[in-house]
Amino acid sequence: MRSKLFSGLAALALVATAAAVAPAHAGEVERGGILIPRIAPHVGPSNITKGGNNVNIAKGKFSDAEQSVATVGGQVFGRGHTFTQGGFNRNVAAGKFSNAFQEVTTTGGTVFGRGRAVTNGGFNHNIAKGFGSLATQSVDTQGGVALKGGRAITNGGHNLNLAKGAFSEADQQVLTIGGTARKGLNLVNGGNNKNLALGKGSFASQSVVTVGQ
Amino acid sequence: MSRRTSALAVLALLTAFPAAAQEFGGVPLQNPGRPFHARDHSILGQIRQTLNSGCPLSQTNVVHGVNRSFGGTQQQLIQQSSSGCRPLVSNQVVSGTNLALTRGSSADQTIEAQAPRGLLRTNNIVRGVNIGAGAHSSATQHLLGLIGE
Repeated sequence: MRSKLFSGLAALALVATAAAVAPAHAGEVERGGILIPRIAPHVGPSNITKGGNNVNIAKGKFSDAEQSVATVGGQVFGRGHTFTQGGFNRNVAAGKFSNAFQEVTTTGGTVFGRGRAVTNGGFNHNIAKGFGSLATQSVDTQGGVALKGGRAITNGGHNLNLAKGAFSEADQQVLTIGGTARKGLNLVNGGNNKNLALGKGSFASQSVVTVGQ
Repeated sequence: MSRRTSALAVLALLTAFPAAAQEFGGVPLQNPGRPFHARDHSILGQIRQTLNSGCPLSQTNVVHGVNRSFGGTQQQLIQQSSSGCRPLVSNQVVSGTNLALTRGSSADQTIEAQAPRGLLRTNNIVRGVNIGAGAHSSATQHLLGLIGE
């Protein structure tokens, strides 16, 4: 009985030895992740565009501050990801009868393929603080398009428009056009905005448009 | 006899199953399965493509301007990278600070820059600070950051 068992084990060992004779392939050291026969997945290009975080302040009496910022990114073809940040802008008319005008345009990358497109055009502050001041802010952000099972995350909200000074005027326009994700994940957020006219005789107007196609 | 057989079996087992190290892992560096003439989109393939074309592996374009005005000043910075090369990684930073500091001062600033698109990665950052601090002052700022195709 024992001899039969050990002879069977020996036979099994011989078969395993024959299978293990094939030498190690040095070329396979370079493959990574999930092993896919024939073609290994390539690392796609990526695009990061940041046109936000701008500050425009009219501090002195009767001062005038005008700012225009344009950032244009490139296109990405294939499996990649694109991140576009055009928000977080500050426009403040602090002085009496001051005028602060800010215009920010950010066009990020477009991914034609299965990838990730993250776009943020929100978190903008437009404040008319001084007596009789005028604060005008216009923020346009256009982000990526991710097709074929990609992910598109778009945020155009969290904006603040405040007319704090007496007889001040604050006008804010925020436009965010985000991703298209066909057969994939598409998240769009354009809410959490505040429009306040706190000063005596002040006027505040806000327009927020967020598009996730 | 049974002891010899068992010893042989053990020896055969040890020979058949040696220690096997993991040979797979990491980022795919090349596509050995692709034919020679096909475009190789793996990292090594793109590096080879960039080196063969004579272009740098990475290119960084930084344009920064500071304009302080106590009277009337104007600053214009234009930088365009048009070597015809597409590096593997392209970075561009455009930043400007424009200050009209005193009463009645005027500060004008224009900064424009263009960089090529990277094969693997493109970073484009534009940021500006524009302040009209003095009474009756005027601060005007224009920033433009472009990425070519």
